[in-house]
Amino acid sequence: MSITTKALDKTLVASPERRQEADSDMQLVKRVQAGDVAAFDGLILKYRERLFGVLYNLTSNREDASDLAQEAFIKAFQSINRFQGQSAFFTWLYRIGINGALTHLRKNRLRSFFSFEKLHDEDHASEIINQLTDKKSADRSAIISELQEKLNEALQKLSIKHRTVVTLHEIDGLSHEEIAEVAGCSVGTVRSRLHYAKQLLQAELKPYINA
Amino acid sequence: MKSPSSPGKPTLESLLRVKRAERPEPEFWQQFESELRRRQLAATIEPKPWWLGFAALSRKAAPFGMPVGAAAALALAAVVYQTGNWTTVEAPAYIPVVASNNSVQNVSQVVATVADNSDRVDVKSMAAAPVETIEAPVLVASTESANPELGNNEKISPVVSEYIPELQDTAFASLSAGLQQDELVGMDAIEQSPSKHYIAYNLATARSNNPELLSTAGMNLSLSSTGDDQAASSPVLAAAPVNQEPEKVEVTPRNARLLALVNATPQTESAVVSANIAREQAVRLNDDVLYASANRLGLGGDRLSISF
Repeated sequence: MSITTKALDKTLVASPERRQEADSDMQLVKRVQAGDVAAFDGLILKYRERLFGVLYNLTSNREDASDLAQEAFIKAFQSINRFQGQSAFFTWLYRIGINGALTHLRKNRLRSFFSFEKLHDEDHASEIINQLTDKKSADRSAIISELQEKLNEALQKLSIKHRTVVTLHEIDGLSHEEIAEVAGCSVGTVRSRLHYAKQLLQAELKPYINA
Repeated sequence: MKSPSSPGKPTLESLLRVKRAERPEPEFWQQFESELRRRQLAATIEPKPWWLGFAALSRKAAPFGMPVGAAAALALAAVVYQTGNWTTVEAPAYIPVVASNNSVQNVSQVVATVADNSDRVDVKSMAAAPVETIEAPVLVASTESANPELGNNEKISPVVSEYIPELQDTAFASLSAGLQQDELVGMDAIEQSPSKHYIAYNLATARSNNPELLSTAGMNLSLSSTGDDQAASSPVLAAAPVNQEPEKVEVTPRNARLLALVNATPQTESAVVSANIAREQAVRLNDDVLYASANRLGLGGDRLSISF
């Protein structure tokens, strides 16, 4: 087993689907490295929504998230020849995007402007909203907006590092190992940050959750 | 909204998962893609900054940073250590003088040695060399080795001859004059000290400028003459032995005033300066002044006031 495969197994041990995903990504990456620029479009289409979602939850601003996601794709394209496959492509891409977001948030620490995306009434979201409201309530949309605002406020009260861990684990569904790979820290640090961030969020969202 | 005590409330994880449903409209992705193409093209044709090469080089050299830094630190330490050895101050050589009224030996060699500022002159070898013999005023001096009971004035006297320009010739002439083999024993024991040289230089300068002042100040260096009639016509620098009575010098009113001025002025100035510094410190540390300084700042509401 090669070193690259061992490194991949270390982060993707919990999910075989991620392993297949990483393999298909690596094939695309090799095509881009070989000169097939159009192959990078496949990677963009595959990861643009997820990357945008992570950056949006970090910044709480759709325009900033859009800019940061575009910059991350451009940087990844420019540096694609340096990608050796020691980690999954999406963790590498996330790392580029999150580093850009951290730099952006540190630069604009005093400027906070929230712009929310529309909350799509999907199954899970509907179930949660139904738990919080009466199904036939006339002010359902107002309650959804209030919930969005409260969630974003609670996330913005976290530090950047804690917000990153919560976003990647609870919203994007990455494992602790993958978050450690993206954030460049140990798995223990990830768990510690996640525990602390959840405590803070529970205190902030106490009226909406079952403690 | 239901009451907060409702048992049907979601967990924190479920509530956070609601954020997954926050997604932009499909039109947003069209705009996103067009902007991405434009920026990608701009980034491709945009010339790279000149420092990007250095950044890439530094990235490549990053793994070697620690050993290279350690080696540089070691090299710097070695250079500093060696520099410390190089900068060791060597005392300028001077020639111990024990002179008599005899013939001058090896004057040219002595002068050349002093000019080169080399190590101590091997007077014994000079004494053995063939020389020309002249009759000249001689520098009569006592050495520490010759008479260990000599005072400070006598101890510094041997080096005076180096720094008196007008006496250089005669001093060096008298330097080796008549040096006998038995007189040179113990010459190496004479201590070399830069401070002695500087003191001697200053003394010689003062001596040449105002001989009367030093005589009045009690310095045992005086112009004297040897008993020889020929040598008596030329002045020589002599250091009086301890057991010899210091030469009586007439203290004129002018000399007395000058001496008093020399002795009193530095002490007076230093005393005045010390008193001024103490007074300034006392004023600065005065409690009233500190209290007044602190009261100049006022903080009221959102305003900061300073009173002058």
